[in-house]
Amino acid sequence: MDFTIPQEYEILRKMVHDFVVERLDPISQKVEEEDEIPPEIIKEMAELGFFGLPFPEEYGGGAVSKLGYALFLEELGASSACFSNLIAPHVSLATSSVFIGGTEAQKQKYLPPMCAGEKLGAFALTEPNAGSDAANIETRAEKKGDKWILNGTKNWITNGSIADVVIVYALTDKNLRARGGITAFIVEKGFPGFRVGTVDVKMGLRGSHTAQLLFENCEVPEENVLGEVGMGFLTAMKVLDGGRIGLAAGAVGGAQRLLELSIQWANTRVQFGQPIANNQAIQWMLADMAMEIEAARLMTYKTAWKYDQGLKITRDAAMVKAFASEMACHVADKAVQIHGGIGYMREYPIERAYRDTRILKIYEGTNEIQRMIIARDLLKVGH
Amino acid sequence: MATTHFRACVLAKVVRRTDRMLVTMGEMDASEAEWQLDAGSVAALEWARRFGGAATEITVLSWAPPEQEGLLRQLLAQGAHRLIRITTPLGAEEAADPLVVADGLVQGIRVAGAEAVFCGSRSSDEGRGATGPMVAALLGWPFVEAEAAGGTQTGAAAVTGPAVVSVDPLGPKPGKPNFMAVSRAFKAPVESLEVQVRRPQVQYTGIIPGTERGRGREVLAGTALDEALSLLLVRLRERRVF
Repeated sequence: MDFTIPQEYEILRKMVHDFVVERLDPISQKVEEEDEIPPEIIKEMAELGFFGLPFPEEYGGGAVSKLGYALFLEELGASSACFSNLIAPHVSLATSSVFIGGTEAQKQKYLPPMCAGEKLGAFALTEPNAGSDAANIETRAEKKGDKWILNGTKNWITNGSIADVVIVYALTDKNLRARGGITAFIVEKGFPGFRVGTVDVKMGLRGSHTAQLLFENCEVPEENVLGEVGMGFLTAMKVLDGGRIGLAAGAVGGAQRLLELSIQWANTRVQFGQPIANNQAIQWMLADMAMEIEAARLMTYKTAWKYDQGLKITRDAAMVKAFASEMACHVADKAVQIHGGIGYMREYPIERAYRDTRILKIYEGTNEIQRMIIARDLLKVGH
Repeated sequence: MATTHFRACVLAKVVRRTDRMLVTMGEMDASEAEWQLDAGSVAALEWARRFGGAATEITVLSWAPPEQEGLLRQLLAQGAHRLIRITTPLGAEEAADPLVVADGLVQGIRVAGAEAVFCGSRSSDEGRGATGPMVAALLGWPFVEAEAAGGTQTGAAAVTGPAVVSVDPLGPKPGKPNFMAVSRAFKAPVESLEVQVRRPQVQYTGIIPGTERGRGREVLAGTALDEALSLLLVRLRERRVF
C-alpha cells in the first residue's frame, strides 16, 4: 500500500490552505455576522478553479480525481463551513448531475460556465414530504407539446436562492417512481413559473443559504430533460454516492482544525499553575479526537480511491458519511469542553463550528439512512 | 528585443526552506527542511513573462533532481511553456561545480534556442550569484542586473540583443495559478537533457590575505574557491583572454 499523496495534490492542498489562511479565515467572523460571503471572495474562488475541480478539462474543469477533490474539500473544510457549503453542493451535486446524467450537448452547454463559477448550481431533490424517502417526491412534470410543465415545492435547497441552474428531480410516472418514474430537469433562473420561496433561518451555516423553491406551471424546454426521461432517480443516487465522500472530507478538515485549536488552547491556558494540557483528562480528549479524525481521514481517502478505480462505493460512501459526520460532532463537542467557557462564546470559532457541524449528520442522507444502506448491502453481500 | 515569438529561458533552482531548518548542536541541519522553488527563479519567470510579451515561449531549465520535478512544474502552471531538466553522468559533487552547472545550462539554452535568459541574482541557499555571470560569459552575452524599484524592475530595458538578466528575488512574482493550470502542468511532458561537461582543470594555490590585496578586488574578494573562480572566469571572458 502506498499512502503517499501525489505531489500535484500536495500543491493543490497548499494552494487551498494558503487561500483559507490568507483570504477566508480573516473574514469568517464577518460572514457569520452578515450571513453573506462577499462577492469578491466568490470571484477569487472561481478564478482559482474551486467550482470545477473534478471535471474534465474539455468542459473547463481541473481534471482532478476524487481523491484530489477530497483533499481539496478537507483543506477548505478547515475554515468556516459556509465556504465548502457553497462549493460542494454546486460541484458534488448540481454540476455532477449534469456530468453524470446529462447528454453531450447538455455537458457542452452547462459544464463550462458551471466549472468557471459563472453559473452557480443547486440540487433540488428534498421536498416537504420527501426527505430521506426521496422516491416519494410529489413534484410532478407533465409533457405538454415541446415543453415539460413542473409543479411542486422543493425544500431546504442549498444555494437555492442564489443559483443560476437548478437540477430539479420530478415525478414523470407515479406508478414507476424510483424504477423509472423520476426524471431530472435543468431549470434555469428566469424560467417562467420558477421562483424562490422562503429563505431558511438555520441553526448554523450562516453565509450559506438554503431556500424553498416553487414551481408553478414552470415551463422547461424538452432539451432540458437531464439525460433521458425516467433516469433521474438513478442519476440522483450516483451523484449522492460521490457527494458523500466530499461531505466526509470536509468533516475531516473541520475536525482537524478544531483539534489544532484545542491543542493550542490546552498548551496556553493555565489553571492551577500549569497548562491544562498537563492534565490527563485533557490529553485523553485530544487523543480521542486525533484517533477518530485519522480513522475518518483514512476511510475518506480509501473511498475516494475506490471511486477513482471505478469500483462500487455505495456501502463505503454511506459508512464514511456516517462515520465522519459523527466524528466531527464528537470532536466539536470535545473542542468546546477543552476550551471551557470561551468555547461557548460567539466571538470564538469553536462555538460556530459546534453549530455548523450538527447538520453533517442530517443532510445528504441522514445517518439513519446511511445505516440502512450499509445494513442492506451487508445482508445482500453477506460480509 | 522582439515582442513576438520571443524565446526566453528561465534558470530554476530548488532549495531547502531556510526558515524551517533545525539547529542541532549549533549547526544548521537542512536534511529535514522542506524543498521549495528558489524565490529568484520564480521572480525570473515573472521577468520573462513581462519582458517578451504574450508571445514569449518560456523554457525552464534546471539541474533539480527528478524527485523535485513537481516543484518545477509549478513554473509551468505559472506561465512557462516547456521544462527541461539537465542531467549529467558526473557524480553529484562534480556536478555541483559552478562551472559545470553553468556549462550544462548553456547547453540547455542552446537547445531551447533562447534569445534571453533570466535567473535569480542569488539563490537563498548558496547565495553566491555565480551562475548568471558564468552563463553570460560562456554564451558571450552581456550580463545585466535588474533591480527592484517600487514593485517594478528596471535595468534590462535598454538591452537590445541577447542577454542574461539576473533579477532580484524580492521582485514581482507571477500570480497564483488556478487548479486547472496546475492540473495541466502535471500532465505536461518534462524533457531531460543529458549534457557532456568538462570539469575545469584549475589548481588551487590559496587565497591572498585581504591586507595584501591590491587591485583586482572583484576577483579576490571571494573567500571560497568556486566564488573566486566564477568571478575570474567572467573577468577573463570580458578581457577576451579566451
